[in-house]
Amino acid sequence: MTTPATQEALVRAFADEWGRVVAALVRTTGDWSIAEDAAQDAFAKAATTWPRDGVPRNPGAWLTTVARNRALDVLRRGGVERSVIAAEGVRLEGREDVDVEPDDVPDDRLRLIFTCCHPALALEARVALTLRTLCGLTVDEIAQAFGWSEAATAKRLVRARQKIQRAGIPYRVPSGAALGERLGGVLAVLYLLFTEGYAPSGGDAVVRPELSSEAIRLAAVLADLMPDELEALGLLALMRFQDSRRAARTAPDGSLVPLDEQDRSLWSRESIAAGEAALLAADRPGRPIGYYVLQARIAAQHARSLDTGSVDRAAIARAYGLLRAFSGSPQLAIAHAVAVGLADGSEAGLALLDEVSGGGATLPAARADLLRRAGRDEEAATAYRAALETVRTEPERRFLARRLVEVTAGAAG
Amino acid sequence: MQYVMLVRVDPELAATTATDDVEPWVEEGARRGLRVQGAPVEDPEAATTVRVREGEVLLSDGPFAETKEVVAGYDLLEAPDLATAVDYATRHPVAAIGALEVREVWEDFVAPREAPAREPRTDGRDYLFLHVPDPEVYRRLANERLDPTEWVRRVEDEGVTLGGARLRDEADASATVRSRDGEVLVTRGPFAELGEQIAGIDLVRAADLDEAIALAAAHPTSIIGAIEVRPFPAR
Repeated sequence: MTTPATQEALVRAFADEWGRVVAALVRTTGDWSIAEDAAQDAFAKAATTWPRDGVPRNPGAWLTTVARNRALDVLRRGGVERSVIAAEGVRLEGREDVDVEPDDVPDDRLRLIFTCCHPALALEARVALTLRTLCGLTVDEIAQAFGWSEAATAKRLVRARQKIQRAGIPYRVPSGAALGERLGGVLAVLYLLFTEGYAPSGGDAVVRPELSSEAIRLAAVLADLMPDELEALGLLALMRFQDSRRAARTAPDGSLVPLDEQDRSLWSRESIAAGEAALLAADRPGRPIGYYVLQARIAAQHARSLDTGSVDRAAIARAYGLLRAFSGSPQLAIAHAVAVGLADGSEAGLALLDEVSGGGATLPAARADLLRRAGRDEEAATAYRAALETVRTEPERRFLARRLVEVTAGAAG
Repeated sequence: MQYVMLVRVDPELAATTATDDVEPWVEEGARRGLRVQGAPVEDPEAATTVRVREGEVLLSDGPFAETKEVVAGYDLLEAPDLATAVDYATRHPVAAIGALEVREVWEDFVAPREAPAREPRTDGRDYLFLHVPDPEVYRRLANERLDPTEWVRRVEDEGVTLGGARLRDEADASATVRSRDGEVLVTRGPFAELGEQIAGIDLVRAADLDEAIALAAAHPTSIIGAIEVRPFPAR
């Protein structure tokens, strides 16, 4: 019988060990499909044997060993010569009851992260591959999270694995000058995963917490394995701060609650503390400040304030100003303008907004908000209507519609 | 005279049409001294296209452009004239399910080397580089930036090249060959589906895709257009 404790051990092992097991097997076998299938089999075996025999002392080593033997079986049945199988795989053969110390199992997850996020793969393929091989999400789960069909998702994964093998994408952490550039690409994929979970680009849900949690978990692994890469810490801090507000972001009716109106008692103190710890670790005097560290500093300003009135608006506006050196995106320009509007008055923000083009519904929504704060209700109503025409998600639509009613009522009164 | 023959396959036709084995064609080439070398490449899904813009390396998954007939391999031919090379190309089985683009090699586009080149490395993987300059960018930039001589010397010195050729595109130096319903169709000039043309090829031997990408990014074509990096099947 599966006791709650065994069940919990299985769930935790899946979360902690899936990526590690697959990463080790990709290195040993050189075959991504065999690695994933063998990992799947090992977890299935754990689900049947752990309730009966108890949870092994080192679940990770147990799973890796079982999966490795399984992979060896498959390779052997496929006629692969013994000599082709990497020595390590052979060494552990037939030792399923081993209790290897964790240090005996090298952590290959960094290689796996860099290979899954390789820029020669299409962005969708990087996302799908990361969720499948590092997080263990099923094809169906990935398809649902992104609104893709299951067939298209499966095809993306097959193509991505084939390209890695056929084009010779190396299973390696890049070194030297290439590392910084490639790390930026990895962080971008993780942040895309997080934001897709935190603010889905389409559909009815305000959050898809499982995607955000996976992204945070991977960012924590990355920061842990590359402690000198400050941007990895910055991204982890940023995600933790943003995620701390998850419970406060949605009203009971499903609409989005803007930051300034959120019930701060709902913010997760635990997440904020984790964000502060990562931000502190990223604070190294003399090192240049990166994109994600700056964003994390902005998020920290909010997290540290007891109420909306005590937020250090000037510090936030300054940080956004620095951020604009990293990217010319309209979204960033809009965020900067709004921050300046809150720090120095709506008119200053509106003047900056006039210089922005693009940005979709965010631009009229930002203009509407600053006009509303300036008390220019009629102009605000026009801007809200413009934003409503292009808004993409249902919660945002509801939020903008509510604001429109408010300013219309204000203008009428 | 040397000619590069780019073998282009229409996947739709290939799926529905039975074709002859390529071996008799290869044997004829060997017997008559028409074929020097050649090999198939992995299909376009394994391709990576490399561009460099404002100093930044930009990669995209897949070929430089979607075309109906996709590059599936190359052959290097040696023939007294274009007519002989074209006649030989008409008998290639792919003529029925695609096109054979026969292009005269532009001799001495890069001055021949004085000292013998280093032997190519024996490890690593082989990649076909397809050079595709963008006519717009080409016009905007000065000519001296396009000279690949320095790059060619470098890959020779490092032992990472298996050869390369700049291809002529004049109507009397190139032709595209197809055969449909038993009728041979020869068009003067290069493969004409696109505005952009393959201006040259390189055969590169690199440790892995990362090294191949770095070599492509160092070549002037990546600045004035794109280089499609297509792996050969693993040796």
